[in-house]
Amino acid sequence: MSDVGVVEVAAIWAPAAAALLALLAMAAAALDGALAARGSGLPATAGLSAPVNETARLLRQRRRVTVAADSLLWRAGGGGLLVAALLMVVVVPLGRFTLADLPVGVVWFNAMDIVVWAAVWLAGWGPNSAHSLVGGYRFLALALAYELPLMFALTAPAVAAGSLRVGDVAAAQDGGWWYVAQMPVAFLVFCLGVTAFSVWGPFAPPAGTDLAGGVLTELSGVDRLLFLAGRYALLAAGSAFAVPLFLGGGAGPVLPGWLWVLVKTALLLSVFVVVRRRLPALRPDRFAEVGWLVLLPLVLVQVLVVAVIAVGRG
Amino acid sequence: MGVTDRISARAVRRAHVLAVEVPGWWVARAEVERAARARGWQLATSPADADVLAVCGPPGERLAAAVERVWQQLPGPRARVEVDGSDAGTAAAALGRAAQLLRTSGATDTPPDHTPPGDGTGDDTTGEHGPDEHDHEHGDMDMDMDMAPAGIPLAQGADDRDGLEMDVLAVPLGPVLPCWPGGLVLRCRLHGDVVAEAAVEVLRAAGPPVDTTRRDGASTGSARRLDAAAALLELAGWEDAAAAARRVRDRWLGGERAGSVGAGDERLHRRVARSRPLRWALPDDVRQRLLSMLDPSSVGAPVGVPLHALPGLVAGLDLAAVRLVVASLALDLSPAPSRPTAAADV
Repeated sequence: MSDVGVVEVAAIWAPAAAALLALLAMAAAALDGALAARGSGLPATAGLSAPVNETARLLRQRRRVTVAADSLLWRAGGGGLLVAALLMVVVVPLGRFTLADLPVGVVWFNAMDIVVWAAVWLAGWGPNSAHSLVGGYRFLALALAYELPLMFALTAPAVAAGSLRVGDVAAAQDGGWWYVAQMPVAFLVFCLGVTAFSVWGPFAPPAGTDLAGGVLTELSGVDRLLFLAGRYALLAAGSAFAVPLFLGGGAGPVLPGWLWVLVKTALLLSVFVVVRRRLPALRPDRFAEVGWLVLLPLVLVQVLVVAVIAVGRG
Repeated sequence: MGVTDRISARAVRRAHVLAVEVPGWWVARAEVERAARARGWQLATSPADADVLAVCGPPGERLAAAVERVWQQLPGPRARVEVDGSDAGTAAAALGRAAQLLRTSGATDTPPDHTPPGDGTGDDTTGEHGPDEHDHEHGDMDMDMDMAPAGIPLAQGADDRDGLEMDVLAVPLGPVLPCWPGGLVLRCRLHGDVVAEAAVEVLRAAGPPVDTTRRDGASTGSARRLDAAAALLELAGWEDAAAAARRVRDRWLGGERAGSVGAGDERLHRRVARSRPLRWALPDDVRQRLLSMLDPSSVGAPVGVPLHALPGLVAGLDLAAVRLVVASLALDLSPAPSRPTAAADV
């Protein structure tokens, strides 16, 4: 598929990409709802409509107002997650087609996940509430520990492919082993990073129950909807980005390339949703130690190995 | 059926319930949680997240004032119901009424007022701060020249545990907070998210609790044990295990045969004891207390820490650890003779 390179499609396809992302996010939310329903003893099918019902509920709910809130930054933070997720998928090739074939696509993705830092912290800062603010700072504490390992995990496939263009990274895996097999450590660290910037699962303490919802404490109505949708969209966008980077892009038998990309994305996304149910939350102070003393050295060694092999191949 | 009606119908199928537990009425709260689960409803984490306020038990004067302030913070459409817990059906009936109210409240309900000054969190709900307690909110971040933006005076500084000067925030935890002993108020002074000092009090019920032990076949001792474990697991961020603990709790409360429930009880205990991530995520003492809560062979008596020792236990911990420690103590605040320090309310 990708041996002919990727084709940049017109910007008019952007809404289609957004719709696909929304579909994946909804599917993830429905799967999570089904698993939650099963966990609490209801039939799993009862939870499938969770995203639709929750959306209806939040569309109907009024916006909460707090005293001396920084409304502009609060709203910017709440909506920021969704924007960052949309900007991430812009560089993900769907088979041969991509919205923006940036020569620095990998760096673009990294820049967008840094935008999430600002968005989550602003969502915590905005309402002028102690619990929200603590939640915002918790996110920064986690981010300081996951971001550097994530950056180096993104570096490894780019080094191996000799290009920062996402399409080139996918094409470099054609006919050989996918990078998930060649550099498993980088892939695992990347997955950790995706769950972390999506405030998901073990990395959910910024929105934890112990803070009465943390950054979510004061969010209601459509503001809360945007934030929750943004979390799922980030998780979906992260999964989609893993496909060209580690999972061979559109490569696969029978099905067309674009469909393979979607199938692989959906599979990885389901893994994220399923694994969450088995794990408790990570305490930010414990994870800082792991991030700096275990993950960072591991992923650096991974990049070193990849780089030496790349140089050896000439 | 119009679009608005359809949205309302969908919305009511997934309402979020904030249950307020009056000290001594934990069974009523547990039954509200069970009835909510049966409807596919969710438990709210804060007033902003809630559509339904379920008051479990008769609150005393000060607790009632706090509940009123929480009610003011529900964004709406909203519904408020009282559950007295006199028998097992009352909670389900109350939530049925709430669903009816929610469906119709969209048009008539007035939006809540602005939160009162100094009340940024959903939990500052006790309604009886003196003026001196308002002067530490984080108003310093606003560059307002009158030094009291929106009526909130600037924070004062103090050295934290590492000798750095930090703003001091007065943040009360409770009395209305999920996974928190009902009626307990812990007035914390925070440096960042670290509790520098705390004062404790209990907002009481308006009367003696109903006797829940007389229910036919219900094992309230085992249920109480699992209720505490569920709260702790929820705080630890392990939703599935918390849901499982609530299910076993509900089966004990429902008076199922001890043999079949006991097997589920034991399975949950093993599952939690085996979890390596949990071992890593929880402080050791908290994990030990959690496991003894889940142990079916334990007598069920909680640790028995006197209330006046609580401030000393939580000083110097961050908010996450404070919540875990308080939950692990499984405090029983229901009226009983042996409670020397708790301020009487009614």
